[in-house]
Amino acid sequence: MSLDFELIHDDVKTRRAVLLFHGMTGSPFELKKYGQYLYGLGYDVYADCLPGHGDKVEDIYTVKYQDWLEFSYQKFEELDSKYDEVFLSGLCLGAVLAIAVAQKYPDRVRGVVALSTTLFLDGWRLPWYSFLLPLGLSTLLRFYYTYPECDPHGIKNLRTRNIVKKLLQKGDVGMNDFPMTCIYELFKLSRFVRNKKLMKKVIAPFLFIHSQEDDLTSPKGSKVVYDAISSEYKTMIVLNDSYHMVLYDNEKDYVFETAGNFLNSHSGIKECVAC
Amino acid sequence: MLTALLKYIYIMNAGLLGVSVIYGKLFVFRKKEAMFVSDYCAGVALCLGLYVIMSFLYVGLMPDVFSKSVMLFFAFSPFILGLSANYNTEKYFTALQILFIASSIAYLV
Repeated sequence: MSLDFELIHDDVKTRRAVLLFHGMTGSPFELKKYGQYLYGLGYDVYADCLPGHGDKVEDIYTVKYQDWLEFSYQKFEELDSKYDEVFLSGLCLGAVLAIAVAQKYPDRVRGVVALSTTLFLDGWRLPWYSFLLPLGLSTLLRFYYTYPECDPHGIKNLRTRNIVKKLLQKGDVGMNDFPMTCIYELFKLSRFVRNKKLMKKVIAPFLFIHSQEDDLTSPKGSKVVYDAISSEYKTMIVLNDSYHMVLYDNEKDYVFETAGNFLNSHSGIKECVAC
Repeated sequence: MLTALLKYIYIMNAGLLGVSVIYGKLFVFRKKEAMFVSDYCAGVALCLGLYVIMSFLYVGLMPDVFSKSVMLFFAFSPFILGLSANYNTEKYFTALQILFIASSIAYLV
């Protein structure tokens, strides 16, 4: 069952699009409400499953970070050829991919909304033995270990958390665990993206949204990118009542609205399809 | 006295590491209780960390260059194998790792 979605305005030709990237072991499902909000503002919205996150569970164990990069570049190029403006937005691993695309196409990306940018795994939820992570990643242990998805599942709001837990148990909307091999690839992608020369090339407007209480990755990841890029316009918003999954948590409406305002203020095309 | 104690700890730890990897591969890593598997892996990682540290320690303690090289190889072997393996070849590299661990015990005994 494909969870990819495209929200396209059929009645009128929209010239602006948003390309969304989901998080590690997630799926486009986690971007649905966000995508629908942006669609309501007049953008065509696209979200696809990243490589390794499709129907075959075993694919996650063999996917490389280069696969994610190539996929992201290809998707961006497809939209860039069809639309006058293409914005990017991503959650977690998706935010890192959005940054990578902004590095590769500095003049063509219209703007980026990076949510819970995951360059490091230093959140408060990680177990006490997470200091062994470098050892685990560089030895055969990374093939044995899977970090279990567990409370609070990146969500502070209890009601939402329980709903998501049930969905995860069914296995329809994302994976229950984080294979270490996938985390290994995330770290390699993180190293690739943190290259200073590549960061200096980024000139697109950037909005970073990160929760102070993010259970998986601290705001340090967003701050590192914020400080390194050359964008004339960049802003960082730190949330105080959410965890990692900011698109589902207590401040999701604020996140949607802020992202929407950011896109509208940096779009040179003033069309309102929803009006 | 100290070297005898170190040797004892090295052998016991390496033995524990080898056994826990074999037991893990056969029974633990397939379990669905993810928290238990996670904790078990952490235990194996601690043993592996100690194995590496002690192997490096023995590089300093060994009398000749050849012995030092051998212990250096054992110290680096988890990383060489780890970075060389992929998802499809992992089981062969695991067998190699267990062989190297057993060899390091035999070398010291």
